[in-house]
Amino acid sequence: MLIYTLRRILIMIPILFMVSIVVFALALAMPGDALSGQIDPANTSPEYIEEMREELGLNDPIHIQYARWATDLLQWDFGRSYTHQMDVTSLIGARLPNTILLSVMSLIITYVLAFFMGRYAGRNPYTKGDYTIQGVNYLMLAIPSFVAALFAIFIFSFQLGLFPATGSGVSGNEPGTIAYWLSRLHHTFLPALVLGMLVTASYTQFLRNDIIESSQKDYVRTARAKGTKENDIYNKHILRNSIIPIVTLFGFDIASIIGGAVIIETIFTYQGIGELLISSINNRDSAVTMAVFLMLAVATLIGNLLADLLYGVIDPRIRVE
Amino acid sequence: MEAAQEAKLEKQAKKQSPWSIARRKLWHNKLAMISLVFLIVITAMSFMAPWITGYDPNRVEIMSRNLQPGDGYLLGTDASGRDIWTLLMYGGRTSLLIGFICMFAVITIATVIGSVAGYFGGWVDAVLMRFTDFVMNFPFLVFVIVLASIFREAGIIALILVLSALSWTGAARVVRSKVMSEKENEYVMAATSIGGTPFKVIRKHILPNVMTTIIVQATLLLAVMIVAETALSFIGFGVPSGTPSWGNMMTEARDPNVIRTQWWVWMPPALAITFTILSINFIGEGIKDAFNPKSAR
Repeated sequence: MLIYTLRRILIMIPILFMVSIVVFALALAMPGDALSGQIDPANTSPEYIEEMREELGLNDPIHIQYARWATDLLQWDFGRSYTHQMDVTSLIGARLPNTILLSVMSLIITYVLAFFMGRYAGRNPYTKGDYTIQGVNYLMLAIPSFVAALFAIFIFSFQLGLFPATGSGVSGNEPGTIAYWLSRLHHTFLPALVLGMLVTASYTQFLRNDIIESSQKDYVRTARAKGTKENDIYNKHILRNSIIPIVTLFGFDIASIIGGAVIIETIFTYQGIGELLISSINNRDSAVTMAVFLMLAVATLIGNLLADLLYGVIDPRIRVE
Repeated sequence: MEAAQEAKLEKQAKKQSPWSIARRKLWHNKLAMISLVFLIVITAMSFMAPWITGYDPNRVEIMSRNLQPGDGYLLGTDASGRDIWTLLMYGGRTSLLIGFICMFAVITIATVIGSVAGYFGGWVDAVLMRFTDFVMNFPFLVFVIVLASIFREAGIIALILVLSALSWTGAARVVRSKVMSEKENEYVMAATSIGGTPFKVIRKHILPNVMTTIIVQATLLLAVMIVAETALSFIGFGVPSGTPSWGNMMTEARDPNVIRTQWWVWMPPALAITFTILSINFIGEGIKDAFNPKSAR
């Protein structure tokens, strides 16, 4: 297992290098560069612009520019955001906790919902309750997250008035107090619910089918023959086997949450990393765009690595290859 | 008597090709058939929009802004006085067209890469699959948004290219694994031994046997592509804002006030998208089920 883990991590290094090249190349191709934020907008004389370009190193050959950017990265320097007038590192540092809170909450909601719905549907297959859960599942799989977000805001925020429609609940309360945390959780619940919807539906489906399949297996028949209580059979024997495969999918959850967060955060104007990416692209704040894009790509990479490693833990055959 | 009947049944069974069995199973799948009819109707209405509605989707009318449903407009009007019902059909044309074109492009790329990698194996496979893994390593939606922002001015064609270029990876992997297992069959060796070129063997012998997988992947992709296009348009990185599309119709709903007070602006496209995806998913399930020899129906 150790050798497998080490090998998987070593493979990451060239991939990371290539990812950084792609991010850099795309950032170069995007409209706007470091120059657009740092010059005096009143002064448009070509000599001045040329001088600034020279000073910022934008006239250097591309590989030298890349080398400079990459060296800065390795020293944890992501440049400066001109719209926010602060270092990108501290800007991301301010936004990241919000996104992490959103992701963790979304994962918790997903696991809890999928666990109970999947267990119920698996224990009572082909009943009314099962069909209801299946119907909800199909709807959750079909409805795009941004559409679901609009409906959620319309119903839960405006019709029922249960949750705030926008914001991340950071302002208004003294940080660290209970009211502050409650406000944050209150603001995060709705986006987290919508964000986890797709994964919830697929896990519920998976758990249901796995429980139904397992309940026909020999070890369950043996347990029944020994007179084990039906509750114990489901909770102790079947559920333990059915939950393991879901745990291995944890890595892929990270990747799917990252993609979804960009859109969900934008709709709920939730001050997280995804919202930062969209606003920085719209403001042509290239230093921020590059840093966030790279960060999200690396997070996806780590998610995939985690998925592989967890799979190796569960299924020893994977490690041998 | 019984024996004769059995023989007759057997004869009947032999006549049926896998395709005709699948067709019959699909025909008896009510949910899939209703979905198919729904999809055909909504597609037909979108493409015949000019004959169904009298309004011009681009006509801006200041006098009739933000009208509620009724009032001479079936589903009301939006902030620039355009008829929602008309926009819905013209928008469907854009969104469905992009979905279908992307689906065909993606499934073509995926089939070519998957079957070449699966058939030849060795270093060809290694190179193609490492490349696939590499593209897969990027968060799809984030990558699409960044690429789309570069080609923001280039319009719908650029959007189709960007979407197609980034979403073939999953289907390519599925096709590859299917081709790899199909390749081991003796009929492939027979076809090669009588002098069939790799291209011919893949096209004439392997692909027909992989076709069911490709069709199922294609239906899934159609749903994914429509969602991707509408989501991108919604946040402003998709179809140019002047062109009606389901995603563009909903951009106004980025303002919470519109969500609250003008439900008729965003709800029709939202429901149209949801029901379209739902019906595509049911059709996909139906096709998968129809080709599954284990399923009884």
